[in-house]
Amino acid sequence: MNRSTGRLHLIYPPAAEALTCRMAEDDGHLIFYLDEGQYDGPPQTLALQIEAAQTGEGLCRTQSGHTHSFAWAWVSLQLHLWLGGDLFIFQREEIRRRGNSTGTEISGDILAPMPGAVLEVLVAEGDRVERNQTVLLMESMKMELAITAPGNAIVRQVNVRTGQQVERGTRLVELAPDDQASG
Amino acid sequence: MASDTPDDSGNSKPSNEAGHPPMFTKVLVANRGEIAVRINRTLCAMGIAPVAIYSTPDSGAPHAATAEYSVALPGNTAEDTYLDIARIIQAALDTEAEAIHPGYGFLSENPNFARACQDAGITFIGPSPESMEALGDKLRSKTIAQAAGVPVVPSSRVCMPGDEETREFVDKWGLPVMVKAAAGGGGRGMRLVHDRNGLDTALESAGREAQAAFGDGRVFLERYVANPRHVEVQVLSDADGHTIHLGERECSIQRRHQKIIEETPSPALTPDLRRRMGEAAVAVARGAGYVNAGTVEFLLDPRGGEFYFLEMNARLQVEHPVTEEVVGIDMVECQVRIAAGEPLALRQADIQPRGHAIEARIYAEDPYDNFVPSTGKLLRWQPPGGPGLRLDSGTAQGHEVSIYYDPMLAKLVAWGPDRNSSLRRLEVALSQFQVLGVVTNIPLLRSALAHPQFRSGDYDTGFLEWNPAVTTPSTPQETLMVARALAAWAAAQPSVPSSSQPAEEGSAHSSPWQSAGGQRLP
Repeated sequence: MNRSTGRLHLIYPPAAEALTCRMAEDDGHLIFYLDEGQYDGPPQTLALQIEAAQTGEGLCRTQSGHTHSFAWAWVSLQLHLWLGGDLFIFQREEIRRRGNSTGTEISGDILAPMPGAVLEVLVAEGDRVERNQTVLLMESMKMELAITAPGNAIVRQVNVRTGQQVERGTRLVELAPDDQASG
Repeated sequence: MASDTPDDSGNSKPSNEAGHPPMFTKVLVANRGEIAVRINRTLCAMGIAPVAIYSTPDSGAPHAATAEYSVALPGNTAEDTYLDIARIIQAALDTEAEAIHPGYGFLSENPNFARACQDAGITFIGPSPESMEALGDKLRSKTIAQAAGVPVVPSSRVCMPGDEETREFVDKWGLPVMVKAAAGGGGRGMRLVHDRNGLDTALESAGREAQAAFGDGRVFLERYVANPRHVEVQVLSDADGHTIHLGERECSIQRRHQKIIEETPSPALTPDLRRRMGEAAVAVARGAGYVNAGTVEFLLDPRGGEFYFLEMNARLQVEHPVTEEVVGIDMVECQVRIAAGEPLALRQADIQPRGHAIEARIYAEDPYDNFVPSTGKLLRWQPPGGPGLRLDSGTAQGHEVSIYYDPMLAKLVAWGPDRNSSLRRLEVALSQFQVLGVVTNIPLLRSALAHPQFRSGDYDTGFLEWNPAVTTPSTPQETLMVARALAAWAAAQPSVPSSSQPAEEGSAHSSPWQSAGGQRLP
């Protein structure tokens, strides 16, 4: 059988280098072909023996005998993997293509970096804002957080009002390029 | 009550002897999370029935599950539940609790709450409303410390944006300058101002944050002491004014002015400095007429060996377990006995700390993205175990981490015969702590512990600022390879029932590898 897992992107920890990976089974070992097509020369391979007594946790052993304990769980379309004290989060591509959940990729909009309440909206539609200018204040877990503009822009739309509860990733303020400033 | 001083037996366990007032039979714990669970444990061990209160998001939470009685306070926000004085007093009356333990945070340092307890005939386990009022005001507490002969950091009076006094203060003491809330704590209402133009904005925003957090928006300026060490001393005092200290805690590893790692003894103190700070702490507590457990916080300039009084916290501290581990007493038990009117059966000479203890606070927050809180369901929560380990946790697998409350999930404490062994125990334990469902600061805690500067003991409150590598992911390439391989493998496994993974076709018995060529991942 052939189940497609879709493409997985490592999204956490941030800035961790992406690797390609293809796998095959060979005599009880899983062979992972890494970095295929990214570098000249043959791909690096990694052979792992995986033992999983129950769904969601297991042990893996490298060829040198190094044993790592690991655990995983799906959070919606994200695969959270715990490995020897570190957390890795992988995201299926179909969502990533559509989505905004890691924040900054969508230019021109300011997203809520955390869940919380809008304390004060400091800009209105049509306002010209400068890079790092505070556009609104949020409060989460009793901490006040200033949300700033990523660059010089015009406020196209304000989507929230004072007192509103927002989820992480909520589009707070939509920005349009400031044509005058660029001229 | 008779002012009998403790006998000479050196017995470190206070006991309820004949002639002492009767012990409580039921105590309401006006808190949630790990501290409520921890207090429940002591109450149960003392034969006292704990009464929990819980909000709607906390239904089924460990702090209610570990109590003998529980009262629902329907509502989501802290304001509607754990901060609602009238409802909490009513819950105590309804359940016939004779006393209330406030824990830390929430109403623990609110004199109105302590007074409301008094008025309702309920014992408040903590200091009197009067000493709480005096100490809760950072400016008044400084006056108390000065009167006790303890040096303080220079500060202004309460000021407003635009005040002439703010200009004068900056002229005198220079920049940067700290803005602090008179009612402040936990880093709230606190701003570091680097230039004059930012002063009014900082006063305004700190005032607003303080108003929201404490219902008191008064702010003042304080001279900025660059990268001091933050060392605090635990004190215990009974109703007869018998006051002792239980040694210090080093709390210099902080993010956003909130502590994340604490240890005792402090690597920065010489025996002489330790003795002087202990005496200063006792003098401040006496000067404030303080009763029950409290903590005197100092800024320590490690270069000159000078220390300054910062504030006195009129409550149990988050980091009290490290003291308990080296001193060998249960601080909550002492609090309860003192509140019941028993004399403190410990003298200063009885306090002989043993070994070294270190605590790491585990937060649901992203250390790589400005410590943004992380919410979600704990799909996996498998704490470590072993010799010298203690976990004070307020959550459990399957529970939700919500936006409504503080993102601290647990405190992991390691004890060892010396500093190095306790650090190693904590490192190992953190590397075995399995958490899935939310992002935690465990990687940050691990890199801080492994850092040579931390190992040397020569660190200050600027540690994270000076060592950006600690808040930068540093996964070894080999681990990254294994992670990617395991993700590819796990993604091909039959779905885990615990979440909203889309339905998978296929049976659990068939290997995904039977197809030739394997699967391609990026």
